[in-house]
Amino acid sequence: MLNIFSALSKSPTNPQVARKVSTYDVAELFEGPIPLAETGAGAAPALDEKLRQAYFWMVNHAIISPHYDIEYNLAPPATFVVGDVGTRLTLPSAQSYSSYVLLPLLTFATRSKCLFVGGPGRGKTASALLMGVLAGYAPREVRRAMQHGHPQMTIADLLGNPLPADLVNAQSMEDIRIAWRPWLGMRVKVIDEYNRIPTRTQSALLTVMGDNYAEVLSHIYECPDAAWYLTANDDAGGGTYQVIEALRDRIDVIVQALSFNPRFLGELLLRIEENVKPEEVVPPEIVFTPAEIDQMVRDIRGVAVPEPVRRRIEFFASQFELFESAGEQFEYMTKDTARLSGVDWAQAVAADQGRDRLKDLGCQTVNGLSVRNLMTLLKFAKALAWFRGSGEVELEDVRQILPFVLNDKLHQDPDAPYFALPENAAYRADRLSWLRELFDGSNAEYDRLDLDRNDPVGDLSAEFELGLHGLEPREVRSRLTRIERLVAELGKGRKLYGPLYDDLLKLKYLHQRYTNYLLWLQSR
Amino acid sequence: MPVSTPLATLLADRRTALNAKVASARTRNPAFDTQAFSAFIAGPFDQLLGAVLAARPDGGAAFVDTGFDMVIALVEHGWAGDRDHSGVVRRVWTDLAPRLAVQIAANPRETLGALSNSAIKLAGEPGVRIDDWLNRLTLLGPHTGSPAQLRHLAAMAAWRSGAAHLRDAALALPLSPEIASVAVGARRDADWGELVNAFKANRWWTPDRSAPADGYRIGAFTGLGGRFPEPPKLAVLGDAFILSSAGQYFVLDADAYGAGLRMIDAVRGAAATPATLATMANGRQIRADDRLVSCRWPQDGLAVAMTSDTVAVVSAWSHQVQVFARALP
Repeated sequence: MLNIFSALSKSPTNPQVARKVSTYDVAELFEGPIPLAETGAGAAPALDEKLRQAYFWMVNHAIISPHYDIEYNLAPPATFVVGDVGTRLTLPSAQSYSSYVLLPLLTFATRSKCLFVGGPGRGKTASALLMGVLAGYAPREVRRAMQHGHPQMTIADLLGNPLPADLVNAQSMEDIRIAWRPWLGMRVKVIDEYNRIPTRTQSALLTVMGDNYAEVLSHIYECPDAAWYLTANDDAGGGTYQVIEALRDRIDVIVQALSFNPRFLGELLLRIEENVKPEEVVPPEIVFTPAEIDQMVRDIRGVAVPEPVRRRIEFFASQFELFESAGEQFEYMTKDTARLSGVDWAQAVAADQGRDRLKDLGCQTVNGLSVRNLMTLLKFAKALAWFRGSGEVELEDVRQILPFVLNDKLHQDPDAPYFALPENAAYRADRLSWLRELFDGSNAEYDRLDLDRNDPVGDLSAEFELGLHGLEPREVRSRLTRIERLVAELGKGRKLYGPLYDDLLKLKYLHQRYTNYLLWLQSR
Repeated sequence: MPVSTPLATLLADRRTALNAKVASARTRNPAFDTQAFSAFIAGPFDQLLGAVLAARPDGGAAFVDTGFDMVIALVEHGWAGDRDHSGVVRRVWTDLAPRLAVQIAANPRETLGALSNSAIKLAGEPGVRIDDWLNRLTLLGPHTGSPAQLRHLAAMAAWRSGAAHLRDAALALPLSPEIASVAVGARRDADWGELVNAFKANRWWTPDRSAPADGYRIGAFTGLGGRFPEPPKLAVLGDAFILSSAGQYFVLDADAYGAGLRMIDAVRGAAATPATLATMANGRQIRADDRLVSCRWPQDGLAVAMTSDTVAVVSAWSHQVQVFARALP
């Protein structure tokens, strides 16, 4: 067999501009064409470099995936207009990535949950299998541990059986031993065709996915932290059973298996002729130990999110929850209120007046973002930045990762006027591009409002963050006055949009904190 | 090409696996030079196998398995063929390696691989005297007891042969004191700790007082294989010399054993203090602390800078820099 499939990309896989060359490491003397094991040249690479090597190995040898849909640019990219409709094709000027490979790897590095969607035979299960091999399991072990959803799948099939002898002889539940399924103890868990699992069994799966333990006959099995991979032929309800919403909500990212480009048929042919199965030839250099995975999780958590980036995420998230006609009290003017009340959506929307429904990004969705969504977004933005070798998240990292996190989380309102425009019709099907467009629209509005330089609510928040300790009553009253003045100014003659709504709620929060503090000072 | 019987036997035993390795290399790199590969296998590789088998009769298989990969790597990068202009890699395999057959038989990659890599690296350093380096390794290498000791010696010998940037690292290496002392030109029974202190006290000191009085000239026009597109400008940053040429910045490392250049980032380089115009003592010499040093450049366009122990001179008419001790120890 040719061992081209075990060749790894040479480090550095994402070369950065050298910043300093003033010190010399003697190990550099022995770096060269011959790889060594005991010198710096052959020493274990940093974990981000190792993950990049895993990525490039998968892209180059394991998954024939020519779709580079996560685009980065160092300079303006070359853009071409193709066809009569004016479709744009861009050639990125910096290292760009294939989401189908990158997202599962980031899921692996953050121990999150990833759903592969796409038609049969697109390599969804094979990709999940590779992730298990990267975690150090033998391919056969991963295959055996993989849970295949089917309409008759019971909780016992999924989690484990009570031992028959114990069932007969036991005097109490504690006496019954459970034969737990081995997959529960694995650090990579694969559920194939999860939308074919019956609803009741889905609930048991939800407990494992959400709370990391399994329960059978009052016996508990605590599972280790793990990366999860689920596959579904059709995420839009094409499975045998409707997937319960809580289970869908536990999924952190969704990646779509894109179509195979026949131009790469030669590589498929080579695999057949050489009898190569990628999972059998994973280079040991890219297999991660449990300790390394623990360290990756810690490293990723340590990536900084600079305030300007965080503010733009806040501004984006503010766009979607406001639904003025859903509530009378200010706090309840949300889409959640409308949804929970069960009112007819179309009627509620018709009553929602006063906003420019084309311009308001919030009018394109039927829901807002949950805390879990935002936490996942931050986690994956950090992971992407870390994967690219950066110590802090850039706005482009957020822009690139956001569609994959919010896909199936932020739901379109198909009747929104925005989608009726011919140029936006494609967004009804292409949700990833729509979500990216939403984020771009939010950033354009952020720039228009010049919030990087002029953010009075942010200034008041920053002042509050310094703490209340030692503040004199006179200063507290002064701040309360400033808040009231700002509320009056913001509310004067302006339509209520999502970000303004959240700003006003934040000001109310600050006002309440200062009021409570002032009352406490006066009571002493 | 004909090869020795032991090599022919070992190759025949591994025919499928070794053919796959070459096929893999050709797939990765269509320009893989099979002729150069065959010549290297039949030449230096086969000769070295003979030495390895003489040192360790059961070491042939391990050497062939690992050595084959090393030769592929060298050929892929051109170092077993056209790119090895000076023949340094070939000399490592033919002149030096047979003297180290015992060490190579025990661990081919960490010994021969490391030496091949370092030879390639040093061949790219204009100030390094490769012959000196090879001679020192040939003399002292057989006395090293482990791959790590051999690499320490290689680094020490590189410093002693002109790689001035390795000075600090070499003085900190945990090399056997006897070997280290001989490597720097001292007696075998010299006190290595005292030698280190003496080296640290004055970069122009050597046990055999071998520092050249006129120092070293280093640098050349890029068109002639050097580092400077235009005559370099000299500056001082702390106790280091900084040279700049066409927007590129270099640190000048120099001591009694040699001089070399390392590129640094522009931000650091731009912070240096420019050199002052120099005045020649008698039209042909520059004044150091305790003596006059020959200088072949004209007075016009001459600039000089000093650190605590070293003087550097550049000329608007040359792509070289001259560096010498302020006071000879």
